[in-house]
Amino acid sequence: MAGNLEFIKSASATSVSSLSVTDCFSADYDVYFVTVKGLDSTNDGDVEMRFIDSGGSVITASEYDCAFLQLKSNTSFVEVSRTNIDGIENIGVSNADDYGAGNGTYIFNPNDISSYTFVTSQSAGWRQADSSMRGHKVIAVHKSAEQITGLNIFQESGLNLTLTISVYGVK
Amino acid sequence: MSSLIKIDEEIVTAAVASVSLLGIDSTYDVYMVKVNNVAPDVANRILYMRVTEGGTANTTANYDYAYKGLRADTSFANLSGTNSTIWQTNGGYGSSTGTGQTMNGVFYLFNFNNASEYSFFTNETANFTGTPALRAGQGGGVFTSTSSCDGLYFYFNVDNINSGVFTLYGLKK
Repeated sequence: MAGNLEFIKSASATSVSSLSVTDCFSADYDVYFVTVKGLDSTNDGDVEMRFIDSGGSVITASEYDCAFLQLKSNTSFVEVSRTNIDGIENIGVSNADDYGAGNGTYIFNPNDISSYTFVTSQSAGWRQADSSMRGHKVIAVHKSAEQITGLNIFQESGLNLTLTISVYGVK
Repeated sequence: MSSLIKIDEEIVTAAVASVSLLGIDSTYDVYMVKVNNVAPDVANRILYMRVTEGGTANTTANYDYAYKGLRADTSFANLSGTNSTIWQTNGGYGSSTGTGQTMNGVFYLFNFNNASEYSFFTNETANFTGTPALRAGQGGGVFTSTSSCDGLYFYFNVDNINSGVFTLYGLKK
């Protein structure tokens, strides 16, 4: 029986420069829940998200705003504000210890051509450099009223990632 | 089979003074509320929230809340209150009437129907203000009364809710 949190699709990859989940947003839902796990890499680094447009292209234009609270287990927290950037920063961190990471993200209105697409995201990860936990609480907006059909995740320094992305619809 | 069960949904397509989501009872311990594309009919209005008892909003001064306000345009802020007659939502930031200037978010509700404990919520939102700027909140609140609550009542500080979808779910035990 279909319920009100419905699995749509997932994607997994080992040692890739980026991973996309395509054609996962539709008129069937207005809100989506996304999980990301893994994020193992060859070095510590910040992980970012971009959206995919109706033509199947990853949106790299500087039309994202985001703000995040970085929670560090070993030192002071950091507050970061960004406008007109080319991706949503710090949805997680990669690490070289292969200890993995976890992220839960809500995405609002991606299929609605008359509204912006909004994001709230929470993550917990690990940094090899200082053997510490690194968490993020993120809000973001894609400031273009257009249809979004998928998402793309990559490491900001261009390092390869091992990860799994799962997308659910909230009916 | 899903463990997220839809209980009530209100879809606003024309101006209304308030929205109530009802149906909280002892069936579930934890409830979730989803709001998306919520906008006022007049620019720069702030969404407030109250518990309902018997379907009616409780207006007593029993609402406490605390938020971290996340802002893309400038420094973050804290927002808190005690013994208020309302709960702030969204970090206290307003929504507006321009393209994309809406509030979107998720609330988790705890102990609402339990008459021997306080009612709590956590909230995370993403919101574009009339400035325009990305400003929203991560936080929560408590209703400091050991009463049995059966829902939530949403309204803007002044004027009306012009659009938006409000949905209440139960999390299966």
